[in-house]
Amino acid sequence: MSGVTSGGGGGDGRMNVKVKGQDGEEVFFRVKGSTRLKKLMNAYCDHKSMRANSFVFLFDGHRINGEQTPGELEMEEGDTIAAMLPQTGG
Amino acid sequence: MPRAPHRRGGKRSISGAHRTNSSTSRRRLTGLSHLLAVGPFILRFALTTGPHRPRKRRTDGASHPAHCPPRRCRVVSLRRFLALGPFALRYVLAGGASASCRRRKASLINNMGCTLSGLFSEGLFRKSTDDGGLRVYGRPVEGLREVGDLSANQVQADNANAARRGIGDWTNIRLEEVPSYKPKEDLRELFTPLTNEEESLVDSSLNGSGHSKEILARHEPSNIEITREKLGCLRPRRWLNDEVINFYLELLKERAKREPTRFLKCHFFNTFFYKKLAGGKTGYDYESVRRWTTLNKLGYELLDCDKIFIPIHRDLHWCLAVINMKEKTYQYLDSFGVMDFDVLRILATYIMDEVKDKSNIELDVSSWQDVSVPLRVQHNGWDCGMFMLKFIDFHSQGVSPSFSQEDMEYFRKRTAKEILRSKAE
Repeated sequence: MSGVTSGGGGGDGRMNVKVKGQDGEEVFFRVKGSTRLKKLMNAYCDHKSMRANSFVFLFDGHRINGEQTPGELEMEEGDTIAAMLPQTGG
Repeated sequence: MPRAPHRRGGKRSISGAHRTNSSTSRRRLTGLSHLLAVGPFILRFALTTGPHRPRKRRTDGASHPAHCPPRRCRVVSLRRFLALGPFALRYVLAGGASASCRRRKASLINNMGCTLSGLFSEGLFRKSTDDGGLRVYGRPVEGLREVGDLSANQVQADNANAARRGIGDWTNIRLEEVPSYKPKEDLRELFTPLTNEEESLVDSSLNGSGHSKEILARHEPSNIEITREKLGCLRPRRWLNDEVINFYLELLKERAKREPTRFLKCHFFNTFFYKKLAGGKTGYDYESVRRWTTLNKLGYELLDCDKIFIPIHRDLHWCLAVINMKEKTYQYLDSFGVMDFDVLRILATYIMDEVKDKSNIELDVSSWQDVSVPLRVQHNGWDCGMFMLKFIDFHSQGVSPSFSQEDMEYFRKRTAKEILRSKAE
């Protein structure tokens, strides 16, 4: 069992997922089901001209670990990852 | 208007004090060290737009001894702060610069608390209502210590406003009867002192040397790692970050699962939930959180829970909303004592949409009541996150919050210990 799924993004196990920032802007990525998501996360930080680890990435409310893959998280074509900025307060 | 002369008088007297200040004291108060020491206050003050509230005298003489003059609402309006000018700012900065200084200026710092409330109520978050959508309460809350300096008398008017504005039918709105204060002896396990070993563990983790990126605690299911740097927010006077808050919430989840008979069945949303639900440009967006609570992921439905906790992040401040599914009530808890009816209205809509989506039940929340209590228990500019966590901790045990500002130092250490041990007691 490979754990890699494809939700219709093609026969090569690739799928399109989007990362949605707090400003509502969506950035689309085409990833393999077996790609470690830290690659996507770093690419998003680059796109936003931010340092790596500047965002917290959530998939369905759960924090994503960079070592996880879309396949492990059972992502499907068109799914949305939320990019959130760290918060602090007093 | 009766208050106009008073305001002019206040302005005159303080302006007079300003003029009598020598240039020496001016230099002393605006020194770099003071600015560094009170960073949070500067940030907050810069964003402060305190509302001016008309004041009226308390009419319920029964709750106010005759020999004691009625207290006035301490909300400091923006106009008043502008009137005070640079003196007020420097006065506050000096108050935040050192502990001894802060003690001397305690009353002013308390006023700042009210003003900070204004930040949230009027300046940044007013959404729709002409009359604010939010209220600063100042009624003394019996059953809690250290709230004796609360003042104000707007509760009746506020109730009327809330009833007009609220979620569905708010004509039944009422303030919760706060249970009488339970002495600590009855809640000993909630205040168990740390052992010497635990103290040294916490001390070495918070204050010891070591690489800031060193991982001190890891929670695998939630993918949260707490580094030495992040845990450092539990040192005194630090603002809590959402890593530590979410880690602790995970521990509370596990605690309830471990001992289901001792704790209520609760759902703890993480600190990002409300921002996703209501923080977008389009406002309320159920679709963005619809998949957060599937039966497959949670193993239960929100409808089955006793209580649902929703941390609310207000740019610089942590608050909490609680939905009590069994008693059919909402509660908004802000350690500065601010009320926010918009949050509760949004959550009411959410819970209706959620139950409809997951269980296909049309939930009628029009009769649900707001039992928010104005808890103005925080007397500084850094403990709101800790207050929020302990509100959740106590409420999830079915215990009303019976702690005060003075307990926060202990709770910070205790939370650090529980995170380091990855187990909430």
